[in-house]
Amino acid sequence: MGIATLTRSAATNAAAAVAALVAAVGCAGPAVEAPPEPSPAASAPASPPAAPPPGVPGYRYEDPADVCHRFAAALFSADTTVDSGPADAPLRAAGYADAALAATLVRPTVDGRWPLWREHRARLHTQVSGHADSEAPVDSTVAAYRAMLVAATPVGDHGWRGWTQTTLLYCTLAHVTLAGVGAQWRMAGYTLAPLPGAP
Amino acid sequence: MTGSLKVALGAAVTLLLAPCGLGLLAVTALDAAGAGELCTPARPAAAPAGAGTWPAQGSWSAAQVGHAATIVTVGAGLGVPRWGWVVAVATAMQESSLHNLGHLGNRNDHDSLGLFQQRPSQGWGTPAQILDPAYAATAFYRRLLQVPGWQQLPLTEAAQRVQRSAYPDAYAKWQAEATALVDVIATGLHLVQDCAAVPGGWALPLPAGSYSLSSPFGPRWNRFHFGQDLAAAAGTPIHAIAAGIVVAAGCTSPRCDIPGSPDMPGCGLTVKIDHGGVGSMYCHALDLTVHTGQRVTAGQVIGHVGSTGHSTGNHLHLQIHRPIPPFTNATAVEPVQWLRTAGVDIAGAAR
Repeated sequence: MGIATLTRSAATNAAAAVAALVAAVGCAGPAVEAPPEPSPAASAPASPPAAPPPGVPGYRYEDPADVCHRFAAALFSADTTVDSGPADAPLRAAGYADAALAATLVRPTVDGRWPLWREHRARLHTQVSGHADSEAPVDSTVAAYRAMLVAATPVGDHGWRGWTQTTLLYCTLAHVTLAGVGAQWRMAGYTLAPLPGAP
Repeated sequence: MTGSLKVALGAAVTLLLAPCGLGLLAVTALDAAGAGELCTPARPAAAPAGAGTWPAQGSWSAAQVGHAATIVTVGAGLGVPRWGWVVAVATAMQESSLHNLGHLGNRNDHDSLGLFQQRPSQGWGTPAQILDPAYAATAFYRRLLQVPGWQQLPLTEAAQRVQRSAYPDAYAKWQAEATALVDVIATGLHLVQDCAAVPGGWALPLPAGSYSLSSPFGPRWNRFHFGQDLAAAAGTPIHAIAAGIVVAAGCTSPRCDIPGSPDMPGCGLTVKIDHGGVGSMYCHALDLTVHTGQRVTAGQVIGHVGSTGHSTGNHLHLQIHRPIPPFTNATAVEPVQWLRTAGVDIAGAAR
């Protein structure tokens, strides 16, 4: 089984698809159903960030492992009672990314799980821990490589729980110098992979 | 898969597709993925289950799970290996959120329709055909099977070769969810995989509880890792995963008498075993207890865990290849899932 590299983006065609009631057209198969109600974020994409990339006030971006950890926690965050839609999580994660990666994180996002999560007023309970990968490249003064193990479980009202999604997140970090800010470790790319054997 | 079961499942899928004139397509494609496969889908359910017959699973509604079940059932009927089902379900998760979407008016992306957002103008079929989930899944699999080496491709790349999406990176995030959903559906439909029998069966490469899973198979950091690493103490016995013939045993690095390092090329002390079409490779051993040409049995100790060659610590790097020959990157498959289908749970036996 392969594992795919992701520079997170969203599909506008899929975003448009989660939008309207459709006419039933059959071929002796199941009827075409109504898609779920679109999330505001999916139908109204956020504006692209201006350079420099977005930042988290007061955060110093000194430790690449901590930047990777915070990025993971943000990417796997959700609270349907607060968030406008699934696009909010990558927007939060963009605060730890360099300009190029941040630009890919602010596109409209569709998540087929969101309607059920919203129905249950769910939020993601996410645990992030460091993962030692024996294949990690050696760090340099301008690039660092870290891996995080992420376990995210949607938990809703009245005891509802979805599956726990266990994922390895491989971070590539770049040491960038931002005008007026100085040098920072920023996420420059990442790869997601299911933990082998995880449900 | 036995011949009778294959025919039975083929017949079931043919019936599923017949109303759309796809019966012949199903029968024709049935053996498309069979050549060279030692693990093929088997054991059909009494009837393919579609939308509306499944309960909600995880974060997916009953309707969404039903569409995923149709995708899996069609894939099994066509003889597509399990990895293809995961690719297809993940693709549909991204393209349609597992909803059979009709035309959305001025919000539609070109003329895209259905679970996979296939386009009539691009030769995927008529709108009516594409809006039939079984037809759409069949059309997806047909193109997937035409992608050379698709079973060795990362999910994103395999899906993108079929879909040609404007956002090719978007499929990856669904791999974990698709894998979990496919597991639930395959279990519910009894779609176990029928691996080729080998004398003595299949075995763990290291003793249960003696190792932890470290670096998995797949791409990261602009490189591709073609095996699964199992971190274990130096000296832990390495077992052959099945009976076979040792086709290579020796040092594959400039030196194997010193500890490895990131600067040392090669796999260190390495054993390759031919199990009859399936190959296994064991890297970085401290020492070897077998020689080229030797016959081994399942579970036989072939060496001990070490850190020779390109390595930063004691571990076993395990690769599974099929079909062999050759033992190349192009024939490497994901070991944990593959052994799981053969009845060996590496992840479950980890500490």
